[in-house]
Amino acid sequence: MISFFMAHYTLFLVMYGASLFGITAGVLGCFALLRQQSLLGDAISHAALPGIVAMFLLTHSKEPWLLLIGGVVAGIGGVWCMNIVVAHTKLKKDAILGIILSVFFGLGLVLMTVAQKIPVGSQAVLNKFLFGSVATLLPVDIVIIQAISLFIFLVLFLLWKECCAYVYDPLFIQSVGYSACVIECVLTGLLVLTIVVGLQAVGVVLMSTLLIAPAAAARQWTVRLSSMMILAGFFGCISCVAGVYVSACVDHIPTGPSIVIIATMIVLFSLLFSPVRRIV
Amino acid sequence: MNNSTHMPALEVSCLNVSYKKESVLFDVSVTVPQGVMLGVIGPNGAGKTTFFCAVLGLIAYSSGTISLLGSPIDGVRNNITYIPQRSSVDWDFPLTVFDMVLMGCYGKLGWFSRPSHDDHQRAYQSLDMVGLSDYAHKPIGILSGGQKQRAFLARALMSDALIYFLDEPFAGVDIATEKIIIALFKKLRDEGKTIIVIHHDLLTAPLYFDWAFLLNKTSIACGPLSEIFTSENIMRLYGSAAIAQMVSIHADQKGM
Repeated sequence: MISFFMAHYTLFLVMYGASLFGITAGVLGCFALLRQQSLLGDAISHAALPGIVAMFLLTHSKEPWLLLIGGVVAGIGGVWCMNIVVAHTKLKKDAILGIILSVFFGLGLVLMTVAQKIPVGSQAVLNKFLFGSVATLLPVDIVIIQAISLFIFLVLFLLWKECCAYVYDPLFIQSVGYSACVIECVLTGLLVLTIVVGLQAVGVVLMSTLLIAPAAAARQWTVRLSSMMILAGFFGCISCVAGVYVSACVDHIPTGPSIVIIATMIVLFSLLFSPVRRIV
Repeated sequence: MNNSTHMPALEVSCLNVSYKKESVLFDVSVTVPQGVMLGVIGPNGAGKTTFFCAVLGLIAYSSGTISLLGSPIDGVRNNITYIPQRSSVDWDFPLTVFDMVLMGCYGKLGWFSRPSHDDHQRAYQSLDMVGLSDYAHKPIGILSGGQKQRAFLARALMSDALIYFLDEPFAGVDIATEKIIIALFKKLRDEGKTIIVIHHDLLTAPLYFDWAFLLNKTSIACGPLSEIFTSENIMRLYGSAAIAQMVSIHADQKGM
């Protein structure tokens, strides 16, 4: 048993990291789904890309935490841009999301082309942010993921009452004296952290599915937010672990697509067979 | 608390609100005493909900002063409760009726703390008062329109507030709910609470309220309903002689 474990140490490590991605994405995805902000997750993940690449161009380093800081800054910058445009124009929110998403992604791709021409040889690290690859996860990455996940769960635990009430009825919770701005910042901040951490596993393009699919599946089976979150975390975890396993067994399948396909299969099953909310 | 008993429940003077550079409310002034059931009445798009949001500090206003029980809103939040329009929330949200009602005590709790056993008991009592005890642990999505309104009311009752702000509680509710709501309003008013209700239906207003505030972009009149429901005021409110006539006929029939 121990020898089996030792032989597959890397695989277990990677699966552990992936399950952390899955749990946090599933849990935070519930808020995004219920606030009808699925597209916001997509926009943040695309917005994070230029930040990651810019950080690489500035430092020429492939230290994961440095690149992730770049991603977080750019992700928050993206949300900030959106809010500014929403406040000062009459454009509808989905139009703004669509524009921000593609502009930041385009900028990220341009910067990546620039990065390819730099003679340092470590730019391969950037490719995994496009479609995701957990096979290259190192123990140091796992430590970072673990710390961020713990932080996210701690904040959620402390502000559970406020977040839950705000997501359900923002006007009411403001009317009894809570600052909407603080709760909004907490929720957006947690979403950005979750997305940036998950980018390594599924990549920019498919990140929003890892956020939304487990939450959508969990909604089919539950009537309370707490149970929905636990189940969404579980679905996210299963999708990631199974996705990593499939991509480890079959050559040349990146982890992102296999995770997303498994998560979507769980959604399909839930839509068809949940006792209360099934479609047929 | 004693020094606030003689203060008006709500005092607004020269309130101006604009949204994206368009003026929504213009020079609104009104004084509401404590212990009345007041209908805020006006046509669609008159800015009634905006008026509520400004009074409750949910949106910024460009000029004017607002005081509740003689203080700015932030000093008296625990004495005020707000029931938004039913359609303002997602009724497919994964939440049980009991959990939703329990949110009514969040104002008193403040950041980080959790509801106590006592709060749970009060939530059950509030549900009982609106006749929804049997639905406590059902999802909010299965409630009918009237039951949803009662669940909102139960959440407001949790707060033990002095002033109740309700946005269109009578829109599309069944007769049973209407009776329960009116009976609760009367009970609260007799305890000295103030009920301020947005209502768009001119014809039913005399049945529900003893005071009225007529609002259409600006304040038109405020006072005891029988005194201010004149055809002249109604005409200014709706800008149409036809409606004013209809209402005065209606009022005559009711012997007002």
